[in-house]
Amino acid sequence: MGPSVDETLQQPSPDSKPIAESFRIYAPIAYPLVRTAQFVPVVHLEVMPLAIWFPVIWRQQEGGYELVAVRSLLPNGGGQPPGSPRNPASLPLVFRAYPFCIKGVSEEEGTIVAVDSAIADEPTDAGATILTSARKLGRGAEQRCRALALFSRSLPQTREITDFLVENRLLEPWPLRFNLGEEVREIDDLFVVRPAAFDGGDLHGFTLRFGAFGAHCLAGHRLSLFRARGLVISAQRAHRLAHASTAS
Amino acid sequence: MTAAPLPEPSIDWLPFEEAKVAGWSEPQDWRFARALEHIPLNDTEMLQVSHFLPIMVHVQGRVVQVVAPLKPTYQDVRLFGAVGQWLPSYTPIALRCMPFALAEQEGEATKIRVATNLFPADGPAAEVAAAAGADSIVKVLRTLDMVGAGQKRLAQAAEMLLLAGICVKLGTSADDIETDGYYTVDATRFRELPNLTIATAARASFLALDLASACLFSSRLLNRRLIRAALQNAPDSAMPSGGRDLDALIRSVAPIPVRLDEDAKLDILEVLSLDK
Repeated sequence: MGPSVDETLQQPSPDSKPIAESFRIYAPIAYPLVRTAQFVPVVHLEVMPLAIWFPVIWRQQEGGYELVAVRSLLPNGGGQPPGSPRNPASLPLVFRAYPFCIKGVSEEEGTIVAVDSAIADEPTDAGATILTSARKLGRGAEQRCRALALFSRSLPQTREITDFLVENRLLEPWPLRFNLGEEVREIDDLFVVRPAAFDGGDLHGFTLRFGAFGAHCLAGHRLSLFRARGLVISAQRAHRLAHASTAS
Repeated sequence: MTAAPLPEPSIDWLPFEEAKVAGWSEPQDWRFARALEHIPLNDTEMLQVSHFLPIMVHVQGRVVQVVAPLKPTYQDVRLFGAVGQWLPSYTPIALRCMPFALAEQEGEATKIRVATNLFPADGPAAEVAAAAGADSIVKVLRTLDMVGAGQKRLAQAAEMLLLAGICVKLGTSADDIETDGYYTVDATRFRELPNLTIATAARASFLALDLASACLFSSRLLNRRLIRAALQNAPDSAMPSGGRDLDALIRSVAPIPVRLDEDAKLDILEVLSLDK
């Protein structure tokens, strides 16, 4: 299982001062999770922009199906497509918002936003506090809160899309089998919209319900599958390099 | 290194029956393609091509085609390497079939034509593989037959988009009444189509909707100056097709409202919580 944002949320140090004024946040790429996550949950609005980089498909987990970007075929996140994750355009929304995360949604408090206290182990800048001295959200924090707002606002519709596809049996398994050196590996929990559904009229009901947004999302999903071959090549290259360095 | 400058080739087409071709081999130097304005696409390759070249609808008289432009006037992609190798990681089927192509005509049975002068006579591509040649030609004719059917399906999909009124013409001013030319999809008009229109387009096949999205997805590969000059509407970020759209959308969203708790002992995880 790939790391999820929740799993990496850590307990704070006991001596937390007014966090918003002392805790520094850095560019997303400074954090290990942003660099190494293999599967990243996404919303329907980002399927098309991310299709330039990654396959965007459904992943079956205990809790059900989730729309994810497959950034790498290796559990350590190695061998991402050229440009990812350094190019900010390659970052899915949850990572544009990082280290801000949605911790949960409660009746009393609405959406709970949390800051992951993960260590920025590769800082590329001096970082910034969450609040400015004028006690306003800093620019970096504000930008993250916008990305998080967009994600959280879009998530219910993304889930509706997923539920519709599952209920109407429009998804089918998409086993991803590839060679790493001598070894054959397979990722077997990925799902795509049945290719045959696009040729018949099976998506009529879907398009009637979700309109242009739904159609654009499915077309993006389909387009994105052409990125799988590049992932295999990148994974093989990363595997070879890792092998060469341990051998020497 | 850039490709050595070559004079822009022109094409002499001959009907297949008159061309007397004994055979042909895949070219090493693809710069002959500079003679082509665009390459017509097959329905099965359109999504794949949209990763490398802009997808456009070409209208000429009564003929509607879905094509990928090859001239730099329309696209910003580096197509040829220093020695003329084809750089994109996919070669459209119709380009692989060159110098054989479908004759551009309406209605009638598939007619093949040959660009007799396209490969330089002393170039490796002009080598006639006499024995293997016959086989390779049979193969290419069969491929072109298949491509003809695929092009027809794509043309019908393009007609749906034209009918729905979501196409905009590239490279012209708004008051241009000439209808021949290249068209792409306007994101705002597509987004605003009623669900019933979208569903009607998808009644028999998803191809028209794939085409609309592929035009938008690949618009990042269009010649930048052309986009500025031609698209009357600014790119629409409400339904993003690329990174720029998504950036614009993020900027337009109000930040998730946060309430900062003054209690110094608060768990860092709870320090920001949203007002209801």
